[in-house]
Amino acid sequence: MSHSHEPGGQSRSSSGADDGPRFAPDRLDARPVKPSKLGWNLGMLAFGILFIAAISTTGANFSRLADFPANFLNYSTLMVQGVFQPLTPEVQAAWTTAFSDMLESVQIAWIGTVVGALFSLPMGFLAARNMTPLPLYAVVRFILSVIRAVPEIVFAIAVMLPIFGLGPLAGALALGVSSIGTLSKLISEAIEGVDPGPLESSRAAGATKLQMIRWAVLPQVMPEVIAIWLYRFEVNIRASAILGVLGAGGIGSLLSALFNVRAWDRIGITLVVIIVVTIIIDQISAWIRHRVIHGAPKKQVRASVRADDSGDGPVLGTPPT
Amino acid sequence: MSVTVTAPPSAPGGPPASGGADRPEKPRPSVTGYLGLAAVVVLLILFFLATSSSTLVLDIGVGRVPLYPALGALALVAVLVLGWRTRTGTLPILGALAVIGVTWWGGSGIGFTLSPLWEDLHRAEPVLQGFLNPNWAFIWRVSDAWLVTLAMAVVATTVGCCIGLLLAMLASPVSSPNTGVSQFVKALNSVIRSIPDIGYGLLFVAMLGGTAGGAGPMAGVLALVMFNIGIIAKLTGETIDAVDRGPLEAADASGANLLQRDRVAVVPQILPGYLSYSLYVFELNIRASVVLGIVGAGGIGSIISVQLSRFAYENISAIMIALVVVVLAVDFLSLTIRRRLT
Repeated sequence: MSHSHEPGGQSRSSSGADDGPRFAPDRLDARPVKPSKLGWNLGMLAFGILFIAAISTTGANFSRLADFPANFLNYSTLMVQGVFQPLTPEVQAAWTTAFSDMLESVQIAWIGTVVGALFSLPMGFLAARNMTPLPLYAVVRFILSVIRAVPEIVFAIAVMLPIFGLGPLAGALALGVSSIGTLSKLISEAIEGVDPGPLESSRAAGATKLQMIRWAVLPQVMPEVIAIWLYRFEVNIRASAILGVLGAGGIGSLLSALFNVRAWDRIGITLVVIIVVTIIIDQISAWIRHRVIHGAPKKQVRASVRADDSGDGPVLGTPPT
Repeated sequence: MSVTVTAPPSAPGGPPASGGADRPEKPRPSVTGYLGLAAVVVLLILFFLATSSSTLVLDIGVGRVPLYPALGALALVAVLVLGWRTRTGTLPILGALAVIGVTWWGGSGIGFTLSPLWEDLHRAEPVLQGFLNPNWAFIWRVSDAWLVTLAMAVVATTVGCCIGLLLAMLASPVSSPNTGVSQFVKALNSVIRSIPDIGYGLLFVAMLGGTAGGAGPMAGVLALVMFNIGIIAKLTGETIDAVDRGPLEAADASGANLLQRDRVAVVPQILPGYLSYSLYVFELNIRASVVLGIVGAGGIGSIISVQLSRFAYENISAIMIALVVVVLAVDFLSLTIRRRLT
């Protein structure tokens, strides 16, 4: 009835309403069914149970947590007071000790990284599937995963401390050995990800394995490798603190000695030194990594182009006066 | 750096300079730059001479020079000559010289020497003897401590990763309410990250009381939580910075507020990465809890610490082997889960 009044929809509605086939949604027209969340929910439930079980297993004494805020405030005040106390010779000595111990930690971390880096490049090549035959690859991979599984304190306790005695050298070498595992793995992944084009062309040009590595692989991976080494240096600075607690010198030894006597003002000073030095080194390292991977900043490139232009320029540009 | 054009003469007898008419030559580096580098080399050699503590000397024909500074100088000059021969730019060579300089500084600072390797190897013998004869029965005697370690890792990973996600969201300009908050939280994150896990361990053990006071695991969990926050906030923050902006724009266009936008446009994108970082952090926690136990924060580390003070290396060896097995197992487990996730 009513459809006859609508001029536009006449033909469509008349055929649809009266005798034509009605619109019957089939499965394809239905909205997509939401995927079942059962697995996710069950997983979360299981995890929740695990979490609660874990809390009770730790046997953590939660009544202790009640006076934690008060303690925390109390000790933090002591530390902040320690940092901002007037600079008497004693306090100055505390700052100097903290700083020189932190530098020793940096030295330990650096030597550890250098030792790790020296070994990691060849190991990385041996652990890259596209560079090494399968049997050797499997053996090297296995050795690396064992090294990675052993925490650095194990190297320190088992091997380095007995041989080299208590001191920074033992710490540096323990860090070096345990760095080899991670570094080689990351480097081998970088090598496996190289563009095969240069490899193929160098092979076509009759390059030996060594020449291939030198001219096709190293130019591609070197920026990434340097970034990996620097990253490990940052990690090693933190790890050297751990070894310091075992007696390997550096900031860790100082911290554990200070905590033994609860000298909160000097602990505050030491923490400030740790934070400041670590952040500065992280920033420098991040800058170098960025520079190595992304090249010179754009502005400088443009400036050098302009300099080249002006270098060519005099022929055309300077009017002969 | 990536495009390296060599200039060896392909035509027999052709000098490289004149034979290169048809192929591009790598431009020569600036001479003034290299003169500057030579000055740096001289300064570094002086620094080597000033800081050398060794009395070893090397007899070369004309006289005697101190051995280690001579070796260092040789390395510096070699880098300089090699750089000039391969026509490398000034900056990479400066970097290489700096690396040699810093390595000298570090090496002389910690008294680097390898001579104990052949002189004092025998001192490691009793320790290695203990390590090679692990006391297997001991692993089962300390199974409680193992459970505590695993439980600590689970609790700390869960709590730390939740807080870490929150801080990462607040720190990234993509998902944070405004630049002020983002800058502040970023600074907070780098402060949290800069204190090593052992520092947190010492701190919380001192504040709460260690294993002796019965609060070891509590302090350990808190230390691990802080440690995890630092790592997760950094890794996840980088992922958030790199999310696809499309969904964000769509959420904005449909009038989502910040919370809704983060919930539907950011979280689904970072979830796989975030979960795999969390599993990685879980692995790290098992290792770290060993260390924390040594400063009195409960778990297997406390046992190691006790055995270490008793020089019971065969017991430590058993624990270490079990530790390696546990770490490998967790590694494998998390690898499987990560494969499923991504």
